[in-house]
Amino acid sequence: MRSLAPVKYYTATSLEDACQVLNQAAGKGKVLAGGSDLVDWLRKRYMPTPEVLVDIKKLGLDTIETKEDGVHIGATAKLSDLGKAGIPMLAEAARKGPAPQLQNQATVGGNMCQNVWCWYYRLPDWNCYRKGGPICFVPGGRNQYHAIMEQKVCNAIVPGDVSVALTALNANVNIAGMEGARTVPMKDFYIVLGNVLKPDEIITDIVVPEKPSKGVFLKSRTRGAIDFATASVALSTTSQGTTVALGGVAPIIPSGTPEEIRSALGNATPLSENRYKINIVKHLLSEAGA
Amino acid sequence: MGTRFLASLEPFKDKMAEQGYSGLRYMSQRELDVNGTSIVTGNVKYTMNVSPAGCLYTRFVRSPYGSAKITSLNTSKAENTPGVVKVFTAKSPEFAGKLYLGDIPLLTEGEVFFDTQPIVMIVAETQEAADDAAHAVEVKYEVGEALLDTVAARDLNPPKVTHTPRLITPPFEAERPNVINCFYVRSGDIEQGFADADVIIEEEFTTEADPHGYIVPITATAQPHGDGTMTLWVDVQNIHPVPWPTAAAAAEIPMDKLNVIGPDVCAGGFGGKNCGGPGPYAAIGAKSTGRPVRVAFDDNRLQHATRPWNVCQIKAGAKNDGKLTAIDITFNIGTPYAVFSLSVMERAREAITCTYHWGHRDLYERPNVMFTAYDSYTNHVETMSYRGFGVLESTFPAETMINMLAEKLGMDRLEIRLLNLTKEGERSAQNEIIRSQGSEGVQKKVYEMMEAWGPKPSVSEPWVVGRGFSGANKYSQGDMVHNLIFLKLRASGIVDIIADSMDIGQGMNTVSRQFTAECLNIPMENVRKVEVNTAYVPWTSDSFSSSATDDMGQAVVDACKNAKAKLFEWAAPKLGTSASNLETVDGMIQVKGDPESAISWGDAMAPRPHTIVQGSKNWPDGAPNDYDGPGTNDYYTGQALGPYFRLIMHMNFMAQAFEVMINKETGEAKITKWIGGNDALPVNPTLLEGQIIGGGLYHGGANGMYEENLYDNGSILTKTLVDWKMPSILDYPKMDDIHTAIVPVWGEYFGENPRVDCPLGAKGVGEGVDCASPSGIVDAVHDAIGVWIKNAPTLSQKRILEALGKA
Repeated sequence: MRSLAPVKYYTATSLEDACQVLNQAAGKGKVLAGGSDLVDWLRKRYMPTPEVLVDIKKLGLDTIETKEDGVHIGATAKLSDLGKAGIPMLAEAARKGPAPQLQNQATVGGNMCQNVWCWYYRLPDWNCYRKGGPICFVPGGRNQYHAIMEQKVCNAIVPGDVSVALTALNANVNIAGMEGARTVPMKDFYIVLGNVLKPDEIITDIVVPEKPSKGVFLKSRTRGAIDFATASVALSTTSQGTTVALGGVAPIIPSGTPEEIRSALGNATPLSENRYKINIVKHLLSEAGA
Repeated sequence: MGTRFLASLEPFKDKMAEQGYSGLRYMSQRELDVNGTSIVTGNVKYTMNVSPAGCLYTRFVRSPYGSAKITSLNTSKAENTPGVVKVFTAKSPEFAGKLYLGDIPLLTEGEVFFDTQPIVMIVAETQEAADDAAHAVEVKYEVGEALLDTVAARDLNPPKVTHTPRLITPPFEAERPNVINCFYVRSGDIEQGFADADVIIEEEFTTEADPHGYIVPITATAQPHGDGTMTLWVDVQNIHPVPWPTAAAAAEIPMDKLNVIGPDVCAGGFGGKNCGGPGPYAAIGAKSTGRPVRVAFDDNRLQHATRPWNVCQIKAGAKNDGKLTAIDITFNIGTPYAVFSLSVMERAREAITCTYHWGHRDLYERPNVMFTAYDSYTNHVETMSYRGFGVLESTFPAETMINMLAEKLGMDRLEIRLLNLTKEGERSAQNEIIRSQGSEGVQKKVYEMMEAWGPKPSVSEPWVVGRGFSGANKYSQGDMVHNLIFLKLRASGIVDIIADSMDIGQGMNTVSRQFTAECLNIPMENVRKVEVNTAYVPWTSDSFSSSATDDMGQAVVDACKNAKAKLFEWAAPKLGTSASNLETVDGMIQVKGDPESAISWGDAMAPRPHTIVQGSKNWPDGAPNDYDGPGTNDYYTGQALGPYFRLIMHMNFMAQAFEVMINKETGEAKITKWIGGNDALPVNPTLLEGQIIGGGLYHGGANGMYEENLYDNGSILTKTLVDWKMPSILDYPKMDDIHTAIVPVWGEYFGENPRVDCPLGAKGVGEGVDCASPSGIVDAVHDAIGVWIKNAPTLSQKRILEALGKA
């Protein structure tokens, strides 16, 4: 394991303070919360070491509260605390995520922002498109765990499970930044090469506007523990209708009505080794009642 | 806790008593593992914890490609990295031209032939500095097309010639430019066998290049002493035959000036720690820098060595009544260098010919067997000896073919096997005398226990349940090295065992104490095993090829006889009787049957404070000549030659039954019930059951489940435990559904004339237990979904859904 490269460590005392430091870092700053993903990256140096780490654990963003506009889940709430949200499908997504030790360490915001686990991306000698290289190696290479839809320039999949559940719950992401606060729907949070956060922005909380009358999170994986989803399906039914979200199948989290999702699946573009995922998603959709 | 069947050992007890042993007092008892407490409390001395004052640390720059030319190598930044003491390349005088084993260089230059091949070794003040410097090394490659097709590789005109110039030219098949060597069996009339067959099945099977998956990375620390001598601590399975000479040769130190020390317990080896891989590097580093140097293969730890990739083409025939008529099997192994691959083919050959009579004795004079194995240079990862070593690779296709034939003929899985098992004393397709054939008892018992599971559990769609069965055998290699141990007898009654025979988690430290306590009739706590150290331990090699129980056990039994002879000689005049009239009881020496006469060892030995006796491998009294093997065989036909007609030391037979649950829509699969059976007489039933479960279910099962090793043009992508899917405990049955059966060759299942190849009836079991696993899983999968999958591992979601036509 390599030593950590020199990095400024900054403990933020306020949101404004944190955003200010990140802004000054001009893209060379990183937010540190649970650190379960970030510290691993820093040690292995898969990506350039940031100049500054902004620790937000003391900002009081770890609460889970029910307010008039919905259930507010603080960005630094632990995955193991998600049961307090009173939304079983969310707790189920956390429980089926990382090992219990990691659930006690990893935060909801960090889980949403964790980097992809594509082997070409993580192995240092493959200069892939996501790392600034010329191409994505996945379509012409080994791809049994990769995307089957929405691929565009990258075929890695969003690795987290909680994000899939939050997307199906039509959650909104509250973001603080130098230009003020803004809210982004979960369904728009991911973009092809990451997420919508600007370098100076921090997730403050995620708001689930309405607890579902029916909520389902189903995850298919090879092993009974440890594994990321081969594919997952989250479904929530509220007064606004039913929303379905898919995990493990794309660089973003596809979501929509059951009909829209089935249609999208029909237009999937599987790669040479991952056509089997379509059958899994179809089955999970059926199991979820979508 | 599931069933723990142990056949009656009473006949054996009487036999032992007749031979002067205490008679199952310590032998076959469930003694606790002597290292158990120190292991679970973290106090066991692992090599990884050895770090002398002033120790330097290392890191390798390894190739990320399977096939590439190194167009430039610049180490200047690494040399200037703070904390770096030395940077070695293949051009460094300490490494130039040196091979590790066979044809593989310690560091390479010019060209790389496998992913993880070492190019540069950094030595630095801290591990972090070594790591940083390794990343500062600039290597430029011209990446080539890797050769991974092991069938194409052995062609007369292969797509690529891997090594130019050729490293090894084989005695046969030299016209095939990639072929390193070939192994053969030619027995009977293969054409007639197939002509007579009513059913013929022809298939191709693949076993992937699986890494060992041990918990603690292989580590070595070398400390120079300033006077030309050096101490080397190595995490190895045995210190003598390979780790010691290879380290001494690499560092150009006389062996007598290099003292090699093993760990209390080698933390998992599975064959991967046979050779003490980091030892030569640590010794070179220490000699060059004059300081202690620690080398840990924890970079790319999962993938620095694996079992060889094998594609097996197999054709088998049978009559309608289930009698086998012939088998034609071709192995296509691919490795970047020749290290260990030859032994894989040799063991595969033995496994194919030992268990079943391929050409039934009612129909033919000789079995009809055509066995051909090619090992070719490819760009797979370096190979190393591996638990099951060629046998899993051959058992997987052979046992699956038996199951396929049974299905085609409408026969029971057990019925077809019992019809075709080789028999005690008859000749195999290698003209070898079959001994200790315990298959019948083990297979019957495991099958009986499987039937006792009753009807399959009802599960809701789309889950389905399947059950599978497989036999297997693994032999133990013998007489590779001379085997010798010392016992130090103290006047206090304490006995020190001085032997190699490393405990690699199989319980050897406990087993050796049980042998000694049994033979000397002294309490277990009076026996200790001293640190494994070349300074005083005699040259042995035990903890490989499932031979520790055999090799060391025989030497212990012999040493105990010598110990008793010496003790009785000294005690006789003091007790006023002859030595032949004495016995040992509870650590005392007495006139036979007269406890009142008992004197202590101290009294018997006085005035000597201690003495040392030795023992060596020694066959049982009155054994027939074929115990004196192994002999030799004809190279081209594989036929064993006289006078011994034995190629191995002993065979270990086993069987397994699996129940799997498979989701037909997601491809998810898990093992829900399991039985493992073995034909060894247990030195310690608890440890043997641990071996059976650990090897058969957890390790062998993993080989058959998810552990896929994915390459992209020779680069391995599955370098982490996220991507290389070692099963988790949740993927195995609950303990209540894990069963074992121990059915020794000696016992109620085999009557009054048992055949005992190993000391006190024991056998080596470490490897054989995992050989039946992939074929058992494939049979269960077929039972569940009706499709034969011919790849191990089998249970990936992709593989299951593709087999079902849903991908």
